[in-house]
Amino acid sequence: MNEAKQRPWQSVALILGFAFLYTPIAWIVYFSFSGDLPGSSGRHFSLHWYRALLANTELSEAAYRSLTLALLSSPIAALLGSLAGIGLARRERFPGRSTMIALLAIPIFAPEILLGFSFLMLFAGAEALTGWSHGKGMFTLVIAHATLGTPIVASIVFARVSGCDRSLEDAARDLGARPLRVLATVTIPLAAPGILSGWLLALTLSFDDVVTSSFLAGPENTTLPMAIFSGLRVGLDPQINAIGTLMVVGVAAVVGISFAAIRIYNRRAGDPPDHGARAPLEPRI
Amino acid sequence: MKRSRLTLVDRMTIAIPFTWLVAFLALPMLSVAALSFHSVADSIPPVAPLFAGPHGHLALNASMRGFRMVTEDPLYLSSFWNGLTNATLTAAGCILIGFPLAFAISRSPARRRNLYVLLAILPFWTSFLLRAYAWMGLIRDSGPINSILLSLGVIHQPIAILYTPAAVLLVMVYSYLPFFVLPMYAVLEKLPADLLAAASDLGARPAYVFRTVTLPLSLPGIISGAILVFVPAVGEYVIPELVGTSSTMMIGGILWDEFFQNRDWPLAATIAIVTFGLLMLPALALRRWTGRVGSVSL
Amino acid sequence: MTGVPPFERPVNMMFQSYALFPHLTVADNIVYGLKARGTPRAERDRSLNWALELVRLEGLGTRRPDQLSGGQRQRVALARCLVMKPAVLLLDEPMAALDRSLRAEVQKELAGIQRKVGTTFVLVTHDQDEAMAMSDYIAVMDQGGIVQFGTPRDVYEYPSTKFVASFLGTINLFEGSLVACTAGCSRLRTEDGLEIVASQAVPGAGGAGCAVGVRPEKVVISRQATALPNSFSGTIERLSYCGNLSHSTIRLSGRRTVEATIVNSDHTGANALGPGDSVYVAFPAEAAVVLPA
Repeated sequence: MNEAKQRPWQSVALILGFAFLYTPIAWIVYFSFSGDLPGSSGRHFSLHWYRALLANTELSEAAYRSLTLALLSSPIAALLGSLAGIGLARRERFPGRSTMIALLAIPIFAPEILLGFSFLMLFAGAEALTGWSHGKGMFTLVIAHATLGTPIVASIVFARVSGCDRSLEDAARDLGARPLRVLATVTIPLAAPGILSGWLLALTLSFDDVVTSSFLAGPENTTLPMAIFSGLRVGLDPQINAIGTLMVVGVAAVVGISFAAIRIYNRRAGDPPDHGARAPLEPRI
Repeated sequence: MKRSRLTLVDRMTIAIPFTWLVAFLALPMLSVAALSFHSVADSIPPVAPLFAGPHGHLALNASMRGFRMVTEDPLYLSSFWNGLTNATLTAAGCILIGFPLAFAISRSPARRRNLYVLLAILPFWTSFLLRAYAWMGLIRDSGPINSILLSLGVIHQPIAILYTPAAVLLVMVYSYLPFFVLPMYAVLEKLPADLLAAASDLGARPAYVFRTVTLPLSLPGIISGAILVFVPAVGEYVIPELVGTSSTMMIGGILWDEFFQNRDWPLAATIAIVTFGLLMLPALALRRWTGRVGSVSL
Repeated sequence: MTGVPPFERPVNMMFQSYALFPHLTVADNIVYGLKARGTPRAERDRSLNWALELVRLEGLGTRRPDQLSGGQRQRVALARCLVMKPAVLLLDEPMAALDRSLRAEVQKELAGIQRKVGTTFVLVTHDQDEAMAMSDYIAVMDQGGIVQFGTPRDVYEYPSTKFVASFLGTINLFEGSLVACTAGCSRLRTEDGLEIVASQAVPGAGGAGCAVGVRPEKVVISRQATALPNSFSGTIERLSYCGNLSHSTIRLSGRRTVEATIVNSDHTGANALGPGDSVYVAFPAEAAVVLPA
């Protein structure tokens, strides 16, 4: 019953809000197909910038690197975050719970530069202590991005699992399932939509990270955001529009597919109970 | 039902991420904090060791130089203040735009609601750098916004939006908006429907219901959403760097310069730690008051 | 009233969940509607005191809903509606959230308040006992329409359709066709050859598909045959002891059973009955209600 009649001002709020959100994106897409420099009338349709993009090895390499980085770090973040989210949701009290929550809060609240700095210290320190000399590179970046993505996944999975019916796990235990089996066969499937969204979000965050990458990546393995950022500081490069559009389309596709997948999953597995629903009628005796 | 003791599986689900975070997050941050007591040196890394001296003798080479500079030099105070005001305005902007949007979504027909939420998240899933770039294109002197205003005759000369504090605010509100809208929506959606129905049944008109029931009950959500925007926004580096000027130098920019330009790691560490400490304490206190951490009540 | 928005209707509703505003005190909850209407303060306070006294919550005005028990919360919800002096008060499953042991007491209280205030209360419930115990009138609904409206006695003793008959309480249904229908007397023949005599004649009823209903408490069980017009022999298949009563199922034949309710104090000692006993079940013509197809 949360749906009152759709009042006119609500529609206005929706339209204005979404217009605000999508104007820049529309701009990017539009001008990626324009033959002129953005800002001019932009009336010629052209794939010029896409071709230039493909020819630009520097940017392409950086893009490839960022993609690899994101695909490597996000599953780790998804794993860690899911464990944390499930653990926090299923046990209200255990020693170290507030510490855990604080740890998860840090990457969300701390200034990015502090985080980047910390990761650098971590690997510089490891280098100093053990002589391990991969201070800057893919490996450190993967670990850093995985750490940054974990709280995001954790909070999404936590929300999802808290909303699920606890008695499902109790029923599994009652039927003789040991804790590990309960986790694998009941809890994780229930949490799956949350894990999926969390993983996607961690993926995006990794793909978008400028600051931490600047701390950890050397000039030989620049990531795409770093390349874009330094390019932007110099001036506007229309090839970026092309990248942008590709990303928008790619992301929309991935999101659309996973959203549909989640919908189908929910329909089959049953949504968590929603609030404000009437208690079921007692059966007639 | 009283839960039994923790099983091994329970312990592991917590212990694994916990250990990771302690090792890769907490300890490094502590070492940054420790770094703020070091002295700067002309080496790689540009930090003088804490303990030095001929073997057998350990001398503590600590320095409070960083802390002194931070408290004395007005540059740091003013840029911190800039960061605070900017973040406050950003949070305010997010509330002003984000609350009506979240509210409108929560009152939409159930079928459309998920779609709207998805639409609200989608921009978040595209690169924020690119969106900042798009705004740069939109608001610069030869950009569409100025063109439209010129052709409508509202202005006679392009107004400088890009590279001003206004641009920074605009792009920050835009980038941080999803951080506010999503938790706000989650809170609004959980408002028990029959509370609103009861208020209406008792004779209250929709505006009165909003003022006396909806708003007070969403206040905790507004506050925690605002904190989720405010705290990271203070230390923001990328956006002011892209669309602002040197006059809008905020603490994030200072940090970056100290680290990358001046190569003064101890000082950078000091600034970072002090900033973080100053921000977390009020946020923690506020959390205790509203009973939530961040957006999702962990 | 569907087209009229809720805040303009002269009726009020007590929600199943009570829907008390968690951020307001008991007093603020109760006067919420009055405040919304712009009632002046003095009058609001008078109404508040009247309401608190009515539901016996004096002195609890400054508490918050989460500091109250379930029963107290219900009373606040009730008070909140009654101060509005509605033309009709709708109560949605008022007893559903209460313990069984509390219900009888709350029923009495609710009825008492209703008499005092005089407002018409419309209770929505699926609990039949509650409906019959508390109401002056009952409306039986099926698929959103009212099927029968009357006093509890009317609806129970003289159901107008097969649905109402089987919905309220239990009933023995003999389906068949009416073979004779004269003034004050009907005869129904079932498929398995039983003939039922009823002392009713329902105009318009006739032909196949009719039924005759007999309430279990009106079925007489005895070891010997009786002189009643509807008398059949059978075996007790099941006997459930329920304290004051026993519910028994007597099998007349392969496909036919009859439910009978026995008052246990009538069947003690030598008269006691048990499963497997051969008995006669009988009922007078007046006990049989004719139900149209």
